[in-house]
Amino acid sequence: MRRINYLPSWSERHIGVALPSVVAAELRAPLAAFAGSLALAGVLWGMQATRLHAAESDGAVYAERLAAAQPEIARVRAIERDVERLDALGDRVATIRRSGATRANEMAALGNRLPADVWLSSLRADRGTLAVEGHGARLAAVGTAIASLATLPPYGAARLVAVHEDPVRSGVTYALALEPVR
Amino acid sequence: MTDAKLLRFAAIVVVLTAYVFIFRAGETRIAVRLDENARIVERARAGERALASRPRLERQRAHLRERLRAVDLDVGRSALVARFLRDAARIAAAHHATIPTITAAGPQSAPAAAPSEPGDPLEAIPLEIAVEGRYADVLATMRALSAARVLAAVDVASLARKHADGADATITAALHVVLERIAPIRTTPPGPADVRAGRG
Repeated sequence: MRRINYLPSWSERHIGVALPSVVAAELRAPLAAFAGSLALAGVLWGMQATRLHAAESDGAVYAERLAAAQPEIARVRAIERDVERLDALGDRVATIRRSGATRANEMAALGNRLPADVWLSSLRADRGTLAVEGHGARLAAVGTAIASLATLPPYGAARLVAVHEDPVRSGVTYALALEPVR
Repeated sequence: MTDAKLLRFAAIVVVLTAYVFIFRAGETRIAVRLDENARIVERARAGERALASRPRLERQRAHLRERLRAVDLDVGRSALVARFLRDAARIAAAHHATIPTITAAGPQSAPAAAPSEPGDPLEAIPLEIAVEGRYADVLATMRALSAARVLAAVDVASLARKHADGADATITAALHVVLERIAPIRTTPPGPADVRAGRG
């Protein structure tokens, strides 16, 4: 049995001419989907290409600006390095200029810490340790001196080296070692 | 498979291919490019900040140079020692102390005065100085020696009564003094090969 479609075609309805159908009716929807997918791919490609191009253009502009400012920036970096060098040198110079006062203050503090009946004869610095020798009126006074010198700021401990009765004068002679804080 | 099914399948394949090879790949490339742009922008901003800080840095540099002018750092070795000796004599006299001896420590060749470390901007000229006077005067002399125009690091080697019997209060201090000055820029001396080439 042959089926006849009496429904007029789109072209017949709108332009009055019954154009022959190129695509079979059952293929139209899949074909439209395929064409749509191709169009979608094209749109996607166009969109991504435009975005990439815009990003590349922006990058080129930024790079150009950066390159233009580079010589001036290099000069500022050189000044920065110069300031760092001068700052380090200034700190070192300040430390050196304070060195005499620092050592003199240590010696003065050492003298001030000794009790009234203990005297200093000599001191000698050797790799951070300070060897102190002197004379005391009594043995107990030397003990007081050790206790007092043990808390002298740059040193961590006062070690007794020797105490002898003084054969020449009355009292004792002592030898101590002040050891640096470890 | 019918033509319709084949077309539908092809449409799906095209969509998936477009997603993977156009959208995802494009996103990756765009992200890389945007990251690179962000880095360039960050460098540009850092550069702008550096440029903005230039007046402050120049003021700071001028201030630091002014501070360093308080000491003689660019003087020649001989002139520096001579100036230090004059300063030391003046300081000792001002503090009622005497300087009986000054000796140069270490060998007296030029390499002895070379910087201790490569890159060290200062070169050292070590001296041993004896100072005599009362305890307070010796300490005041030490303070003044390191604060003079010639940059001198002062350290105590020893300090002892001049007369062990305690007859007077005169102290003798042995000081390690290291004069410092800006190290001259050293050029490599020509080697034998260079000398031969020069003669040839």
